[in-house]
Amino acid sequence: MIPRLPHIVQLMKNVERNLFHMFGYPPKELALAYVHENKPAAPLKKFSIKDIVGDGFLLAVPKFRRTIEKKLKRKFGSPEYVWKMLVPKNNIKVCQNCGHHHEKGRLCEHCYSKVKAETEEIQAKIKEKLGINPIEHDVVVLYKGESLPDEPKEFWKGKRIIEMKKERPQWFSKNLLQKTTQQPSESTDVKPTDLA
Amino acid sequence: MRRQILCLSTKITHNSCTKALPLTRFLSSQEAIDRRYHLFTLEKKRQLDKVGRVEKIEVQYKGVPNDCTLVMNKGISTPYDCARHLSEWHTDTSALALLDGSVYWDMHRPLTENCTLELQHFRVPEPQQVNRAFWRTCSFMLGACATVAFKDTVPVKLHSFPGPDIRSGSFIYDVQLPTLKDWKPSQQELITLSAEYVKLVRQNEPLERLEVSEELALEMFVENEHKTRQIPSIARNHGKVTLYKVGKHVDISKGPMISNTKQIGRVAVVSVHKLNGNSEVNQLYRFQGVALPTGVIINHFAFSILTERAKKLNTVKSPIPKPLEREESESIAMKA
Amino acid sequence: MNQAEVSKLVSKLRINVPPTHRKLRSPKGPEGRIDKLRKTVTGLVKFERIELNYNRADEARQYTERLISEAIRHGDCHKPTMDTANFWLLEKELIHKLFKVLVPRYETSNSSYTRLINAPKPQYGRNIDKVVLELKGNPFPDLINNNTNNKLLIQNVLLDAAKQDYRQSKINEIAKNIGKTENAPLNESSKKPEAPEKPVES
Repeated sequence: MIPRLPHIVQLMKNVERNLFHMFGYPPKELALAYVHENKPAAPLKKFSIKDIVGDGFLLAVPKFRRTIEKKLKRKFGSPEYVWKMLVPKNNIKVCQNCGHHHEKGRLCEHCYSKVKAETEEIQAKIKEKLGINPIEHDVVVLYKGESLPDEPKEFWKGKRIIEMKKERPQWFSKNLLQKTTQQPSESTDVKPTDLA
Repeated sequence: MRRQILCLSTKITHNSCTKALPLTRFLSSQEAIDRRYHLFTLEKKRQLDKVGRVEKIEVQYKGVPNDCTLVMNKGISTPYDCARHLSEWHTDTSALALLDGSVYWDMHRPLTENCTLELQHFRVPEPQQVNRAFWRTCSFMLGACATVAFKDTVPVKLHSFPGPDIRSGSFIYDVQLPTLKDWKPSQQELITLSAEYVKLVRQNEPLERLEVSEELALEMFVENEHKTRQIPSIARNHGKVTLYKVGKHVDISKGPMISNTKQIGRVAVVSVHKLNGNSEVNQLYRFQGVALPTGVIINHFAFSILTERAKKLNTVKSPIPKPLEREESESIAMKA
Repeated sequence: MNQAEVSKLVSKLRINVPPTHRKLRSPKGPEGRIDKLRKTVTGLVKFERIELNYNRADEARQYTERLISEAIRHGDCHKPTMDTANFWLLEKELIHKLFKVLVPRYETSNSSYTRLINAPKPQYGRNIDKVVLELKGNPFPDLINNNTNNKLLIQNVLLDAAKQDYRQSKINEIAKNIGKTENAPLNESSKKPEAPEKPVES
């Protein structure tokens, strides 16, 4: 190839551009005449699902988009009704006697299981001893190795004594024979009414 | 003549410089507190560093929820650390530790050897020692309260507090207020004192224990002539003085004390009485208060009975001899 | 108003009674509800401590309280009370228990006769409120152990000391009065010292 040809072509183009710039472009009349020919559009083919599926078959799919609100509610639930998130419990207390945790306002599960087992045992014992006789006397439970507490004979008159064949559990306090009900106070002191 | 006077005056100034420790004059109460606190922390750090190589001890824990063995660091781990291995409830409610079933140990005092450990709270079946520790702590805090409650213009010199006596109805602290003569606090002032006390308690500071030598103790309490007078008699037996710190307040006490100030619940400073007696200590006031542990819910009427009773002058041994009967004042300092 | 005082007709219960009754679901309708409650009341009087669902327990508690209070009020020679007891207690030997055991037990009581305590909820499973319903003064171990009666607790020590102090001051006062009115007729000194009302913390 001629080594300098592109250079010359570039030069010519520059000259042409400068000329046009200085003297203006040639008039539009000198331009080539060309008529654009509009082809008639091809007749539209009707869309049919068969074109896509062919011999196969279609599964059911969602027709409409699921809104973001519905999506979130499905995922997390609603705080008023069913809240699916894990929520920390703030009503847990420690049992003063056994150190296990329990819900506030409820019995401690650990202590209660012990009490329940003991209660059922005593109840079974009472039932066994009593049979179907009419119940006319109060029950006193005595454990192994326990003698009758020091009380006057009238106290023991007509009490059914249930003897358990084992030692008293440590957590079961002895002073159950005390009266649970208080005598009305006999003092005539009037309680102050207008306290802060 | 003139020369003689000059000689005398120089002698006097010289004497006063060497004997009366001029340092005390330049220490304001706040500076003294800061200095004591600084010395305490330095000494504590030094003692911790002295432990050196860490050795392990086995602590047999007895109590709820189940017995277990804890391997702790000798001279570093405290019963409080053991409680932290168990649960938050243990750390919060335990007031005292019982080692080997006989020794009552502070919760923040490092363990020194293998032992069995029981944690004691205020509802244990036999709470006498815990109660005493609680009452002692309340007295101690009353001293801290008295130092911060007054304005800078009123110098406060803590004297001492006697051993805890719960049946007397009030815990006490004897404080010297040299500038106040015949001060009788109004109801408003007592309420302010109580509020100051509650403020201190609500800071939830642990009570730290430290045993220091007599010299250091004298150095720490250099500006308080009462304490400097008491320290030699306290250190006579072991050569050591037991100090307790809460926040920035440091004071001498035999201990043991409860774990944290947040275990002090309902509290009231109810009265301040002037103690009369013939001694060089003038304007000695006895601050009295009554308190209950956290979690003790008591009828307001019952609490008013307690406060009414605590208002009376507590007649536990006065540190200054009474006009008629002279008593030893040193023994009280020993007890405190 | 010509209206009888209500408390003379019906004894006042020491528990909270809601204005309307609960509907306990039963295929037999209201009759089935009463049947259920009769069974529960009978069980409670028999075993003295039972565990059951909250609704049924709370409802049965009211009937039990009413039954015991009627029994205490009228005794066993009163026909309508006996009929009521016969209706509510399905096992007839329990009628003896009601009049011979429970009435003496609660005669001097000034609080309710039964106790209702929430039982622990299972961590997993059905979310049902279970309760323990018991008659007071039963021979079983206590459900709640709050050892506030320990005399060594700090609040009790303080209150005890205050009580003693108060007594001492009263005695001193009386002694002073005696000294004053030695010659005059003794009128005031016969007053006995009274302890202050010692409220027990709960």
